Amino acid sequence: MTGLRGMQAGFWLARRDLRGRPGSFLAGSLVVAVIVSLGVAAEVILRAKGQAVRTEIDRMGPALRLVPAGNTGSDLARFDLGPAAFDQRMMDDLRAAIAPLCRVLDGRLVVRETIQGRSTPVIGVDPDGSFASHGNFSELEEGRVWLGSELARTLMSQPGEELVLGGRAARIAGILGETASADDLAAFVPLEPLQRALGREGAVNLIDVYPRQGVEPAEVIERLDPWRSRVHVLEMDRGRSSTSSIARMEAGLERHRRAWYGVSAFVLALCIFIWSHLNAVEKRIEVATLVALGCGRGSVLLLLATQAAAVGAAGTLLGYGLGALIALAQDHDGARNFVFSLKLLSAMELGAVLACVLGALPAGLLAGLREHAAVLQES
Amino acid sequence: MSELVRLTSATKQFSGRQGLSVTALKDVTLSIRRGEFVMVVGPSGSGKSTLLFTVGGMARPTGGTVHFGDTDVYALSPSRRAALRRARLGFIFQTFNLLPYLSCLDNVTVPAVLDGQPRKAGLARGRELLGQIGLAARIAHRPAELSVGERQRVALCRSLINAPDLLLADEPTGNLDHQATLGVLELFKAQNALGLTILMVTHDLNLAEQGTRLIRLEAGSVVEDRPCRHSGVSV
Repeated sequence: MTGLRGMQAGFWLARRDLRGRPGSFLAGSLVVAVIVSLGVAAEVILRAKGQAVRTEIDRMGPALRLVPAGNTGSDLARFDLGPAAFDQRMMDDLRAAIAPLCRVLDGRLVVRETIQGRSTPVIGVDPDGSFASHGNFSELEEGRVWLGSELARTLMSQPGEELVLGGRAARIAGILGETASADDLAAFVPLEPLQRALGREGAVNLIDVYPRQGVEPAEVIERLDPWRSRVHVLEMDRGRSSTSSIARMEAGLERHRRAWYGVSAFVLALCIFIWSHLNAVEKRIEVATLVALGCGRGSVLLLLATQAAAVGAAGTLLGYGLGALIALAQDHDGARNFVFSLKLLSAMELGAVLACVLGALPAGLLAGLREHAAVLQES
Repeated sequence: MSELVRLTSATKQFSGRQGLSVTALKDVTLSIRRGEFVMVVGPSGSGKSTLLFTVGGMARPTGGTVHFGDTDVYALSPSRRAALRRARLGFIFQTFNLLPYLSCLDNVTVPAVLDGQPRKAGLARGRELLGQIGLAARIAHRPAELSVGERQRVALCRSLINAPDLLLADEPTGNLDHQATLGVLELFKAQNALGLTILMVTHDLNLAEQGTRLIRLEAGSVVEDRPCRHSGVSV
């Protein structure tokens, strides 16, 4: 029996065997589930912790800051960026060019406005997307303002009080913690209302760039080269030092992760080999009978491999659920962002099924080569 | 009648522990013609089952040849030998060897599935065979839900589904009571009357006389080869 015919027969027998004897199938699936659950839990926790570290790094500030050409780092430090800005179309072009390398592109509009008669830096930020050393801006909506700690001290303002910002009344939503940065001197308002109030819809003059895990800022800078005449790139201290050391740490972690997965896959394949072998030994009379009825070695091999693949697929689903629960129990807040990952589930399914099939192949070969006539005579 | 199977100086030795070898078949030369119902008898260990499996392409002889028609069985590749078993041979065992997780109908259709036949045709043929032996109402039952006699009849249907040229039966009545034995024997005779060649191993000397030819083996050698007394058919 060769080719398609053998495959069809192997699948037919495997399907009926799994349906007719769920006990053996369940036992094999549980073995797979335990191993996969450990892998899933470790992976999800690793991702959650990695994300937590990166978030902490991001709180220090972005790796790169983009300002319109003609501005300098000193201009930005003084919040004196002038009238030039990136329009919506330019933002879209930049996003298309560097988004694959970045986790966040945070567009801001930095202007100077009068607060209580004083010229004050005012930064329009996206309340849902902005990162800052003091965390994301909550409760930042139209008519509200967050004040930097130094600015609040100077104005002697308290949360809940009203002030006049650029001729418009605004209630103080909160006072930011001290960061020992220029942010301490600024006021933060929602981006869109600020753009509307200034008649600069869609315009931003500062883009904070947070590269993806493992991406060096230099790669992003290279992608920005075509816009050199319109964009001035400021590489921040964090970008030069923290990012590269984090990248080195993550590369090390990646090596450990690969080693862990290699060992897990080997253990899984070994378990499935033992399961398949015991399965084949237990069913040796059935296998010998099938051979007598005209089943080829290929079909015997396929029969066991198909069963192992089914066990691997079902066990992985079960193991994924278990692993997700373990991860959530250990680090609920961090893990919940990563447990529902179709990509991770697919990768686990593919890896586990492959390991199971590889594990079943030697058992299938041994089963096919057995002296079937002797088995039938013994029976 | 034309020759269907020919063994020429077939010898089968098994190597045991400590280098000791056991000779299961010793220089056996015989031929089986189409339409014969050959009974093989002999004491335990005389090589009856080995003869059966050697003819069936499952136990390569250590010496000599086995021909099925014009085909040298052991000159074929394992996959071609499997194809030969599928298409032209039917096997029946003492312990029935039905697959416990399959229904009667699925058990009967296994050789058709292995042969890649269309599923509908296999099912129809399986139903027809089970109906012919009075098991139409049991097609959805598992082997464990059948009596031993019924199991052996299902096994017979399984061996017939691909319309083989030769039926190899290894003590098919060994586990059956007298009544079931007679029932199975009648089915064998009916198939033989339709032209099916049968090679059957048995311990039961009375039963052995119900074939057309009797071969007695002792210590791996043919010591008697004669027509059965009840057959009235010369060989």
